Amino acid sequence: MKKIIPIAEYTLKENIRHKIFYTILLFGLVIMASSLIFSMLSPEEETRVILDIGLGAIEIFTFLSAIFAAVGLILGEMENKSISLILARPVRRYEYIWGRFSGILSISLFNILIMSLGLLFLLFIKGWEFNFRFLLAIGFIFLKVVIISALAILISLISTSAISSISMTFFLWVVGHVTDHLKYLNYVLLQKGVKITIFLKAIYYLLPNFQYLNLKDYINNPNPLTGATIFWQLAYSLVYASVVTWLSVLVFSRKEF
Amino acid sequence: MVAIKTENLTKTYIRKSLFSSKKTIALQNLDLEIEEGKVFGLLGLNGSGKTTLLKLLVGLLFPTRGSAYIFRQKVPHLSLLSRIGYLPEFPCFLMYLTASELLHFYGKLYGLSLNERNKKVEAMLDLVELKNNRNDRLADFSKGMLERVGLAQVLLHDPELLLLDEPTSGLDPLGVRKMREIILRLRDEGKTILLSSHLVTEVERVCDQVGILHQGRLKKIVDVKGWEGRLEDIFSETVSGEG
Repeated sequence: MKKIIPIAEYTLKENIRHKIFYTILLFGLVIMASSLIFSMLSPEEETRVILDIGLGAIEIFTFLSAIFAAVGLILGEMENKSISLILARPVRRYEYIWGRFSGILSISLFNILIMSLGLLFLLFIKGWEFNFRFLLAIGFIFLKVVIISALAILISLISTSAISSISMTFFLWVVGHVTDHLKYLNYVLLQKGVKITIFLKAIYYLLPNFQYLNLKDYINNPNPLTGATIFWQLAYSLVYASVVTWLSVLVFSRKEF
Repeated sequence: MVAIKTENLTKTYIRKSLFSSKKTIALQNLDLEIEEGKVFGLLGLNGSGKTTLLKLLVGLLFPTRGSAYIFRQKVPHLSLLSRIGYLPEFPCFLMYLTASELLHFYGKLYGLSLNERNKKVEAMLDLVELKNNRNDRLADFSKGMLERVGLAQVLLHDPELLLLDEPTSGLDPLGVRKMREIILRLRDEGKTILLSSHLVTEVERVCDQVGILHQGRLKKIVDVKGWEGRLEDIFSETVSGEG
């Protein structure tokens, strides 16, 4: 367990020293700032436009930086064999994976924090009144990144190239936002007499359900958010990410270098 | 006392493609014993199984058959890795770190305290003459400098057993000489060293005993008295099937 922290630390250092990290962050902030221009198109809903674009930018750019860290760095380390100098030391394979995972989450958190401060700044200069749901929305963006980071690590261990890993992770990100449609698909198919409910249910539970965590769509929604809902969303994310990460450990334990 | 023992150690690589799989036997039924405090050289042509053996000993590869023991403990065993220093043939580091940061990072993986790390990192950088480059990023280092960092990371935790894969490859003549001096000094300190090389003259200069590997099989073991200045001839005869 003791080795998880130094591995997380070096993952963080590795990310922070890469130009791509700053490029992604900068792009995110630029997109966010551009929301000021778009907000002029609907003067009565200025803050809503800024909020929508801003939260969207936080989500997309944190997702991109997590993919870069998970796929680019882990796969790179396996390809250039620098991993052998880590595993030739008293480091358990699970410590390496959990260390890497923790490091990626730290960098994502850092990313989210910087961009959220930028967004709050834009909102406050437009006279926005603080809403507690903003923090929840940010927290749930982080939970989505937790899940996709775990999946990206698993994919990068199974896949043979960075391109296929990135494509697969993108695919899961997109599909994860429309898994709810599988229920409708099942309904339509049943109407036509096609019974593949078990198969569709299996896919539904295996794929991540990002729509379930899309709290950013409900910031201005008057319906109350119950503690139980938030608890189950949190539990879902943590259990899903843990299971995927332990799967990565299983795959990684059998790898030779 | 035996430092390394292998019994029937075999490693087969299987490369799978879409329609076929290809088997390559890298190491075959290797039975080997290396005494503590000796410098043992693995001599062989490229692809003879030297690197495979070192990787099996350090747990980066898993044996297909047979077993290996280090200090009477079966490999792979996590606690053994604190007693081993491993230098791969082309060491590749975390290039965005500085030399000092890299050694500190490895030190943390051995569980060394900050005080211990500070002392050892400084001592190692001094030993490999990189003290003035401690804060330079490894990405800016030359190949020879990286090889020296490789040596520093091997010795950082004062291991009892050193596994060195082609330790002189990529070094200039002065670097080769320095490496030789360090190996001989470590032998005098009682360390066990297993090094692989295909440079007969280098092996001849530092080793007490040499094992000749050819096509994954251990063909011959000779000691310093046995080769009497003609190791190159013995090696040539052995790998060409005349030995």
